Amino acid sequence: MNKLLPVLLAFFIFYAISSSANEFNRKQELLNVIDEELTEVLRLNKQVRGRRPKLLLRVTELMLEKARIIKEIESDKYLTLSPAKRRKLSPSKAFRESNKWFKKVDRLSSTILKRFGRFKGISEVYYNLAYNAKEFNNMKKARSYFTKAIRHSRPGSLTRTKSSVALAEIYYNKKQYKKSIPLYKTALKLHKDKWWTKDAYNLAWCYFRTKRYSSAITLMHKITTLSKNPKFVDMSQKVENDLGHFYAEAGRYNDIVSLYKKRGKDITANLIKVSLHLIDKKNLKAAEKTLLKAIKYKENDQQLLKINILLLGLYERHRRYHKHLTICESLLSIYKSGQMSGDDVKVYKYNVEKMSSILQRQVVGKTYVHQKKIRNQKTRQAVAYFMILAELDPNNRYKSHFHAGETLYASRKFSDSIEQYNISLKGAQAKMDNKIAKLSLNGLMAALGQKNTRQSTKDKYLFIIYEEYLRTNPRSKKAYKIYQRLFSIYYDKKDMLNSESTLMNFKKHFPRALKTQEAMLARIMDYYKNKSDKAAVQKWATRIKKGEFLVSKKYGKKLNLLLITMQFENVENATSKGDKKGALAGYLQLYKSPQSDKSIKKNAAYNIAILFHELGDSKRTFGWAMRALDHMLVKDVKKFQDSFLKMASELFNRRQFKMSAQLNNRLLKTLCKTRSKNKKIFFKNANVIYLANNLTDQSSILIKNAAGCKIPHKYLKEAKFDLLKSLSDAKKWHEVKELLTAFESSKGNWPNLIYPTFRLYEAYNRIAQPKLAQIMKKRIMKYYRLSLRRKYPVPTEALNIIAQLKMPILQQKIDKLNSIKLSFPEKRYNRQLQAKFKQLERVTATSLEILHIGSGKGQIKTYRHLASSYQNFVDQIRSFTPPKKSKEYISSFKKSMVNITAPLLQKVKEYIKTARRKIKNKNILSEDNAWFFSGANKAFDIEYNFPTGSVIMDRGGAQ
Amino acid sequence: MKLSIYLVALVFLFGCASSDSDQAIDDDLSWIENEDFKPVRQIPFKRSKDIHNEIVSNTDSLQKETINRVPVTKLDDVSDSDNVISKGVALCYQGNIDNGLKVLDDGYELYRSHPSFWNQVGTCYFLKNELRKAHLYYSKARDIDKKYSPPVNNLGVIFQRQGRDQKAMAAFLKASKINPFSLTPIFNMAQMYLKYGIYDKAYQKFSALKKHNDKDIDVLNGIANVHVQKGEIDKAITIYESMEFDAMDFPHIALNYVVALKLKGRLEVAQSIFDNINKDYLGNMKNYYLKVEKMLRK
Repeated sequence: MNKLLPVLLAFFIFYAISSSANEFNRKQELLNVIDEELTEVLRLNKQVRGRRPKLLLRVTELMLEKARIIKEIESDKYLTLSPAKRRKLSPSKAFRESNKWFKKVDRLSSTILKRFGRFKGISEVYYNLAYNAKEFNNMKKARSYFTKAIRHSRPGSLTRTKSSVALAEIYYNKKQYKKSIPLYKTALKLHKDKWWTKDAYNLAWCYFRTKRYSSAITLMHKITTLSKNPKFVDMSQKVENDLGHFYAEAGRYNDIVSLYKKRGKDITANLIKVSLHLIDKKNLKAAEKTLLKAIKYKENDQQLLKINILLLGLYERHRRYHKHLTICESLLSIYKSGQMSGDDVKVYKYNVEKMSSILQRQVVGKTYVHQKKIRNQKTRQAVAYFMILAELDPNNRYKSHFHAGETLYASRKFSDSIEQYNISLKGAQAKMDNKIAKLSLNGLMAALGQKNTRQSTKDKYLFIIYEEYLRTNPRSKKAYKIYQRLFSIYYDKKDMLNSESTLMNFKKHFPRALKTQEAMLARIMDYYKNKSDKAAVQKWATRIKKGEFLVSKKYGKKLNLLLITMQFENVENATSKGDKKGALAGYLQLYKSPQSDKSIKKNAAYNIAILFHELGDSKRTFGWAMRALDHMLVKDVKKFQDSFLKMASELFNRRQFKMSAQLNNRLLKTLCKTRSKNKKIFFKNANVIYLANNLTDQSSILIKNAAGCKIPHKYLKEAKFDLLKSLSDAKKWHEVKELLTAFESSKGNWPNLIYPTFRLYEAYNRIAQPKLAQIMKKRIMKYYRLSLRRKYPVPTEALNIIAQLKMPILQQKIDKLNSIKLSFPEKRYNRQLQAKFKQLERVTATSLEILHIGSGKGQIKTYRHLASSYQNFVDQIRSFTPPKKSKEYISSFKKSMVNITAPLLQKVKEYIKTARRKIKNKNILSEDNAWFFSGANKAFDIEYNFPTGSVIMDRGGAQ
Repeated sequence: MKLSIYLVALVFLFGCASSDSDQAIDDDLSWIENEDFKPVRQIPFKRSKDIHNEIVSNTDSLQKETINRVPVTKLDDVSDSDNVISKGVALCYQGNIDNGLKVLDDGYELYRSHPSFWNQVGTCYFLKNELRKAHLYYSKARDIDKKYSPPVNNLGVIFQRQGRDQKAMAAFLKASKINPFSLTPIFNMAQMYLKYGIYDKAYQKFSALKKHNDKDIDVLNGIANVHVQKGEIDKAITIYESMEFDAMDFPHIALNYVVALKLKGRLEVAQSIFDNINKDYLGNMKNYYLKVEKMLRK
């Protein structure tokens, strides 16, 4: 055998060489023959000087034939070259010879057309030209020439047939099937050579392409039949391949099945083949239907798999996602069972990946933003793909879940995305894929924060997500917000343990975020405060105070206030339960505590004062009230002024004058610049008490200070007059003088200055300072005169003083009256009498002035003086006896004097009567009253004495 | 120099003490019970019980209203009384004013709504010669009950003490107007009228008092004085003779009796009575005593 092989091989090589050599020789021989004929025809043509178109045509035919053969030879030669040489060699060079002859044919044909336009064989000329053009790939020209060839040829002629076929092919190749069909039909009708089946095949395809499926299928069957005949080119195989396609396109799937059944072929396999073909031809719909048909006749899973794989491709191309997905889902079980080959898996996976990617892009993109239904559908599909992918690539399952999450998120299905992100996160963490883990976490965070996320999902995942995020990113910008949100969530759930833990973590990682820490702290404190968990509040407060947490001043104050409030609550609870002793102890404790600030002390001291006030302990009430005032601001004092007033009044009631005055004074000082309803009361109380205790200096200071506190003028004036009286009583004349000077500036005060100025006048007199006393007297009279002029009401005491001061003048006049003694001689007597009458007039006039003053005492005294003066005058006259005169004279004299004395006596009676009436009616208490009423011996002034004076009345007497 | 240093030190110390009042906190509450906080139930004031009934005398027409004329030695019955108000004021009348006020302080919670309580406080201060304080507390009694006459009368007494007789008279008149049945203001007015020679009115008032008690020597003395002033000597002597024997122990009564006897010409009796007058009890009547003595000699 081994020996035979080289021999055989040598034989074959020899045969091949010899065959090719033979072929070449044959062609060469043909060329020779053609050359010979060509020479001859050319000679003949020369003879006829080219006037015979038939000869010229023959020349062209021979040239054309020659050119074809040369082209064949050149082609063979070209093919023998190595690819490298072929690349270097240009086609024009390689086919130069043949091209030359083709061009000759062209030229000669054009000449024939030019010269012999009506030549009967013109169609052949056109045909040659068309053929040449076709050779040179000038299809347009070729088409034109072929058309002309057909037009100029006789029906049924070979030229027509050849031209028809050639033109049909051109149209066929250009896919102008409709144009092809009539040409093919004509050609096939005309001849039935061996190429008939081939041409018919093309025609069948033309029919097919123009959807004339029945015609195509019928023709195909005819071709199949004729192909059995060796006379015709065997197109059966091709037909067999295409028939299925034709049936499929025609929707005659049963016929396909029948076809293959008839031929005893594997239906499914053939259907697959058909479908592949259809797919190839991009007839995807038909391919799908074919494949679906194929499924029915599948004989095993492999076939099913294959069909599905093909369908995958088909649907993928079609973008029939739903069907594609269905296939993918159905393939999953096959995949899991391990029946898929490596290639199939690749294809399957590729499809799943591709579709998932496409769908994801579609979901994420803007295309379907406003088409919610479609978008949702695509989302579902994309997710389904990702789930399949997760199965296909379990090692990267988490990635699939991540992508699913992304898709769902893009489609605003946040709750579902959370589920996916969560799985992806866990998977990525397990695989230590930090990137995906981070992205998953970000996705979780983002989805969690969305409004549309279901609450149940939030509830389920929130803590996990936040805790996880914080675990991995404790110091990020997001973490800053998450801590706060987490805190709030725990807080709202009343999970204080976790709230506090969150705070501590936040503090650890954001030590400088003091404001936020403070806000959290405040909430914790509020919680415990509302729960009345004092221990917890205290615990946190201690931590804050120790500096574990830095808080703002404002919050520090608030905290203090909270502590104060709590502490006070304890105490107030005690009070409300009636345990005032306990409350008192509590307040004392609060006051004494070093932690207590001014605010606490203020409140505590005040309440202690109130409690001691309730107890009736004056000393302690005062002490604590003063302490409270030490700590209180003005607004506090104003708020509690009524209470303080009660305390001060109580102190007075309990005779604690000093304390009461001090407290009133302190309150006045504190409220000096405020608008307080009790200010004037404090002032008045303090002043009254000071004066009651003869503390004129304090009173003076108080009044001076009160002037700057907007105390009503009325109160100040009253106080000053009180002070003036006290100073006078205390004989502090220097201060009295100062005060009088101060009062004098306002003339409205002058009526009330008369009495105190008189006291000063008396004081000066007592110390023998007549000049100073005189000054005071002048002032008194000045005050009186102005008061009269301005009709100011003058107090009774002042009127008494004025009357008293005017009495000496009256007395002077009376003395003068009395000093005029009566004596004789008669002339002298008359003169003296007249003088006395004149002086009596003066006395009367002055008396009237004094009476006019309006002083009761002054009036009575004046009446007494008047009555006495008149009476004395009468007595003097009556008692006078002219010396050394006769009885008759004396009697006559005395009688005449009666006329003089009578009216005087009348006056006396009048005066006495008037005085008595006034005394009785006005209850005037004058020392001179007795003179008018006493009937006893006026030589002895009887006194009524009652040592004890007026009697104090202790009781009402029950009457 | 040393003194100034001491003073500065004192001021400094005082200043320290007053600014650091926390050091002086007395936190001993052992003496306090919750019961102590309960408001004391005040005893309501009843006019019918506002009366002095500790002393029964048939010679004092004002005994129910005042113990002012009761001799100090006889006030023990009152100062030992259970009645806080009476006890307090009695102690004050006895000169034991601080204790009297203390007794009243102790009764403060029970009687602070009583105008008579504040009236007694005022009286104690009056007796202490602290007239301004007396005035304040009498005013407080008036504030509690404007129709309560004792403090109005007592304000008159203050005015009279201050020499403001006209104002005193106005107060007595007002007290009498508030309660026409109050005898003390009538007595005070009678005295005023007598002092100032308005004899008719004085006689009218004294007579009204005599109707209540015709053995009250002050009333009888007043009437007798009116008679003397009016020259009705016989009537005056009759009155003097109707008085209890011990009335002549009082110089203010005895002296005018002597005057009346002298005016009547009964010199021996006058002298005899004059000689029995105890000069130690004259007080501010010494001048009048001498005047009467001079008159007797004439």
